Amino acid sequence: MLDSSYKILIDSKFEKSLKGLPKNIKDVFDEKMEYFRNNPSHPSLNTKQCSVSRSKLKELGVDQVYEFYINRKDYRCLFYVINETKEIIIVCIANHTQIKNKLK
Amino acid sequence: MGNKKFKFTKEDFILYILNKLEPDKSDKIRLNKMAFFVEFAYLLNFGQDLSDANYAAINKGPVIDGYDSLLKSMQTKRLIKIDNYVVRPLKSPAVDIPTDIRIFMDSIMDKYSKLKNEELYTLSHSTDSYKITTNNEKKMGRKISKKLAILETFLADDESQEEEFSEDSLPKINRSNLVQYAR
Repeated sequence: MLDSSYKILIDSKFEKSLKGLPKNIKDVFDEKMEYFRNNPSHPSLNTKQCSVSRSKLKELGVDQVYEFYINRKDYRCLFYVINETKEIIIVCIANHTQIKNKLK
Repeated sequence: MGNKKFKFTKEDFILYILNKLEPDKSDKIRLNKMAFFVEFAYLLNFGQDLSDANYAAINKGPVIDGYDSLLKSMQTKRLIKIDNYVVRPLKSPAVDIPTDIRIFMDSIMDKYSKLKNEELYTLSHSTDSYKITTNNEKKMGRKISKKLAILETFLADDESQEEEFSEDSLPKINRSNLVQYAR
């Protein structure tokens, strides 16, 4: 189970793109990350595990893939979990169309 | 829609809502819940304040910040009448309300007027804005940031489609690029 002992990591390239987000989205993301940092399973986050095959997880070198909504209408944040090293890796934050394009 | 020039004062906002509430359902709980839902729905949909009211998270749920003293002041000014928990308007808002705003507000109020007070109470307690502000009801009395309205997607005009992504498109991790997340 995810908890505050997990280290939160982010791709430095993605971190730069956070600055390009609309300010209100960035503000809410920061707010949610405060809760996420202390409790990744905080009820307010509606964190959801994504359905990914074992073979894909093995290929990525991760144990689980999760997402939580910044704004259910548009933006969500995708992250990977590696339990052995207690790491959470933020993959991206984007709206539906951007996620589809970014993940192509 | 969304009118950049218009913004209610707290008093006119309260008067508008009270004039819309059915007399036999016009009490402090309903007033506060309606105000919160209407304001946050407007914020979510148009990204701007509807009124200069702020909202506080107390054990009764989200309420207009300082509503008790505000209502007493309005009573002194003979804008409203308070009789225990019942609050009735004695006047209409002293401002011309743009038609598009009136239509929007009325649609939200019509939707939530169907709920009983207990249902409004429960719904307001379940909002992300309230849960985040109170840290899941552990800390009361804080002001609810209007920025959190963006989370209340149940107030949105339309439901978003939750598209699933293809797992084939999940990016691989490049360890050399990873840094610790800092706000």
